[in-house]
Amino acid sequence: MIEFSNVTKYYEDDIVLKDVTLAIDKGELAFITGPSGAGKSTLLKLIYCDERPDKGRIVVAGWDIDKLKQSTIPYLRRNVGIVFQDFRLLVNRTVFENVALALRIHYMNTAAIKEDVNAVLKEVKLIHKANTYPQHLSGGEQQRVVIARAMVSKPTVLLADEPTGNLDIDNSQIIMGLFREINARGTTVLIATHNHGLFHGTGRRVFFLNEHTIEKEAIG
Amino acid sequence: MKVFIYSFQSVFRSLWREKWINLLTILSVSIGLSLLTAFIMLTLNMESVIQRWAKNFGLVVYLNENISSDEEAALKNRFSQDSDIIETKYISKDLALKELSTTLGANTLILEGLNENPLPSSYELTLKSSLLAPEFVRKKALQIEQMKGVEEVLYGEKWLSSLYTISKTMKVGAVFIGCAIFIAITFITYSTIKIFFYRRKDEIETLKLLGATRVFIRLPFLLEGLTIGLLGGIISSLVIYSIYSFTSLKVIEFLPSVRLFMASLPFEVYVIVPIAGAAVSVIGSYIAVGRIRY
Repeated sequence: MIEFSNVTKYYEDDIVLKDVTLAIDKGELAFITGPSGAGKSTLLKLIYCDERPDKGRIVVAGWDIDKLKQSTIPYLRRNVGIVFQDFRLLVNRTVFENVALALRIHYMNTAAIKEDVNAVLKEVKLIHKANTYPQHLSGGEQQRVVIARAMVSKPTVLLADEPTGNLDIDNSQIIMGLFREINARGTTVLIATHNHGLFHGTGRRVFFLNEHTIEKEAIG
Repeated sequence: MKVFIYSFQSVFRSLWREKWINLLTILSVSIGLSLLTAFIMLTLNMESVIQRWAKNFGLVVYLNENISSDEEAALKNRFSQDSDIIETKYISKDLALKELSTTLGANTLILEGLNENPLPSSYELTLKSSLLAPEFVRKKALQIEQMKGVEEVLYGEKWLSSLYTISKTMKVGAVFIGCAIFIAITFITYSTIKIFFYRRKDEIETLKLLGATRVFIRLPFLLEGLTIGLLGGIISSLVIYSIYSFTSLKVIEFLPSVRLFMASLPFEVYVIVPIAGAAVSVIGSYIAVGRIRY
């Protein structure tokens, strides 16, 4: 589902990723870990084309990133749900409207949007906060809104960048539970985290990123 | 179709959310278009005055005292064959004297001392109104003056020259003002749309990452520009129509003869103004969103 072959990425003269090769299978839930600045976020950005590789080849859900035109990128992104580290929730929109944004870009009709958004809000247990603005939610609730927004369009791949970075243990477990549920439905999930507690004992593959490259691959 | 429905919904939300800045922009556009329309109306009225005067414009060709009847006939023949001349009128010496005495009215006494008729016979030539450029008329007069049996050719050279200059200046002015106003409207909508774009930067960034296409993001801004221009144009048309209707009634009340040469704006102009406003505003919006990277 996600393939990196000898991918190298520079930010100006600084190398961020060097000869990274990895493959995530369809329906897999995997982790990328490493210290801050190791290139975890950049690796995710390469998957959803927010950054382009300087060398190497990336294939995501059958899309060869290298051959992708700028005008085609949105169609790739519709197959990739993203849980951002900084949430990226719009403060002037309610929880419902924030989640609905992901469907509006498909020009879905209002009734279908309402049905799908309410269903996903029930799944993340936030239906009672549908009309609340994000700034009135706790960190854990905001993260669940972001997950709801990422999953509402039923993507084939879900990427999460430090999804529990600002959360306590209880909320982290709730969030991880949601990822497992999403994965159980067949969505490929890739989580970038520096928190080893998230993958310990999960039995999932973990890629260790260090010194800009994949240092080792292990089972969590 | 869905893209337009969504975009228009977005436009109406934005028009309401940013009502004050939108109102200001619409008013600015309508003021610009009103100024332009008013100037066009002024130019049309000036043109109407000139055209009315041109209908009566003529060259007076005075004939030699000793011109033979054959020469007179030859001249008449040449004038009637000239495609630039639409009317030829012969004024005999006797008719000229008669007209003069009619003009003098009670003062005909001054003519009584004359032993013979001093007035020459003449031809009054009416030129096509489309050929009244001073240079053309001057050349025509010179050409006729060279003809055998012609003593002198007279016409209102200074009048013609002044009116022609005024008319030409107003036309050039209308084009110049039109260009200036269109550039100003383009810049006004450009600035407004750019402000809206930057105000919604976070939302746009998020939409991009969720998979929104360029059309999805940009079309609402273009349609918002179009709506601003269209509303500005409609207001301008309504204002100009109201002002014209009111002032023309008042002017005609005091100077009824003004009605003869007062030109109203063709109905098409009231339709074209909003369309032009919309088109120019779309150009401004297109430049604004085109310069922003996505």
